[in-house]
Amino acid sequence: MAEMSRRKFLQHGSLGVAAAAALASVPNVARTALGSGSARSGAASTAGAAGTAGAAHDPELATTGPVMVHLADAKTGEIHLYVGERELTRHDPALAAAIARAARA
Amino acid sequence: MSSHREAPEISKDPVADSTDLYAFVSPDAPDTVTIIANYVPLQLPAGGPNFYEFGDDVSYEIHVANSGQPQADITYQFRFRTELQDPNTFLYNTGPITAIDSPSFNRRQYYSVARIDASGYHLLAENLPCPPCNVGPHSIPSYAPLTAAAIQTLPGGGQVFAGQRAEGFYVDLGSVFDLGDLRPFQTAFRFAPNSSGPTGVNGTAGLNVHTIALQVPITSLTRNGSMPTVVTDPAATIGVWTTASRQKVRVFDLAAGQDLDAGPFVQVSRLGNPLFNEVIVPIGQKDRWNSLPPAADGQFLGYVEHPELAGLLPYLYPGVFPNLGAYGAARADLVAILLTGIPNGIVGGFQNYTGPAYADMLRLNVAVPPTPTASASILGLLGGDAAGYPNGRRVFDDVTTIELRAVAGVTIPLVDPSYTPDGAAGAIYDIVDPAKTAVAALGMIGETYLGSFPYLGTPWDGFDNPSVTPVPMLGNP
Repeated sequence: MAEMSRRKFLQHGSLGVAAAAALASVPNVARTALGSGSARSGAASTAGAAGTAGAAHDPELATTGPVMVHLADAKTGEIHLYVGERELTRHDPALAAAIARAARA
Repeated sequence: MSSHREAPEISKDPVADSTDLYAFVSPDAPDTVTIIANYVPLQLPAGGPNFYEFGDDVSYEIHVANSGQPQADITYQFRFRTELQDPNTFLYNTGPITAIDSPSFNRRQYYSVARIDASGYHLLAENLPCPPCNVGPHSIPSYAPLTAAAIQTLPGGGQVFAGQRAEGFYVDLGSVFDLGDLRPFQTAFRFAPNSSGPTGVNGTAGLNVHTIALQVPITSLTRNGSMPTVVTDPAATIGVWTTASRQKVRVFDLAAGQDLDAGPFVQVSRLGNPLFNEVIVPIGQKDRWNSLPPAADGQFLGYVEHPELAGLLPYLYPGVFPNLGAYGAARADLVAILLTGIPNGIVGGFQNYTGPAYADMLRLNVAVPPTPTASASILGLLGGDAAGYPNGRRVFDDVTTIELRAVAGVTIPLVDPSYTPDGAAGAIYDIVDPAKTAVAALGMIGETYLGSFPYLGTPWDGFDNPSVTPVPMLGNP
């Protein structure tokens, strides 16, 4: 993964960008796992671009406004995503590991 | 103090800090109910260069329960946005403001109001203007016309207002939180008295607050759209509370020069009865209480049944409250007043019972007609005036004295006829003797009210307040 400070990571306005940046350095199993988990509230996640090439080009990943990511538990892979007025929960150990690595970069 | 800075965390977030909630049958329009929710406490009128305002990032709500359960059957939601006419000046206003849309009014707020009920979300109005804060007579030669311009008619009947008003709640803030001192009764106080006199000091005199005021037909609030006329009608009582919520996540984005918010709204402030979170809930629970709905209040029952203040009064005033000090039973009277409403048969001709579920809500029985202000008792139900607190709450009700006397034991006989209240319980007050103070006389302690919507007085102007006179003065009525 390219150098990505926490500040730059949080500044990205597109979930697709964040997800693509994380996916770039993880095995294919992580790409398919991205669509798992459950939404805590609001509409279902639009980040279910499992297995498709170029997640960043998926129109459903286009968002307006900031996307906040909270790595709640690196061991279980629990990730909370905050976008608009929604909170989405995912369990993705591989993505969690990628986020943790990014945080240590 | 009704709920000003009443919890540690909300005291650091004044924009989301609910300060007072009022609900009453409108005295000049008795087929309507007026609900007033105040926020942003203890505003010094001379608040420039950036005057007080609502939070663009806060969701303000007024909730009404009408089904006998402590749930929001109806919610009115208010959202605000701020506009700058000229970002290149440091001035709040660049010249006199003579109309609500004067070009010189630089930093403006607008709001939307929506109603959420069983039929869904209904946007009632948007882009409604708030009047400016009362800067002073040079900036605003006459404030009253701006108030009038800010009162908007709602579709379906009713009116709404949002903006700065004079604080209507009065309390001797300085003494009551100085170990429970009541200045008029200083001679009986345990600790060395440092002042004496027949009256307390109104700690909120000359201060302002931000008000959301709503006046709607009674039939739009009752469970079946009815207009109850019988006090014992179960549909006659509604429960009311207000909340403020913020989005769950905030990032301070210095590069973007703004805060970024995301996620669902979470409740950070709540208010039903005055002084509940203030003096009933312990400090370690206050912020948690603010985050919970009224339906969760059963877990706070013990604090109402055995209020800490009732235990302190005999200690703070030795020999004055012997009967209160000896009374160890659970305070069913306070539970009724604060958590369930008063059932039928306890107080002759009155009830505001919403059911057995414990919930802090302001309970208004709309079948009780309003008392003309000229003859109203600021002691409310304790003064024989069933149109006043705890039947809802009017802007001039002396809720501090009412609740002091209730905690001190005057209401115990309602549920325990064997109890005799201490003489002092029915005599204490913290500023003026309410038995001798009509609503009109509250002006002498710096209170100002209107006889019509939005009922709270013109906000004190910054040029003249802080005031050099004993009573605040208004330079631009």
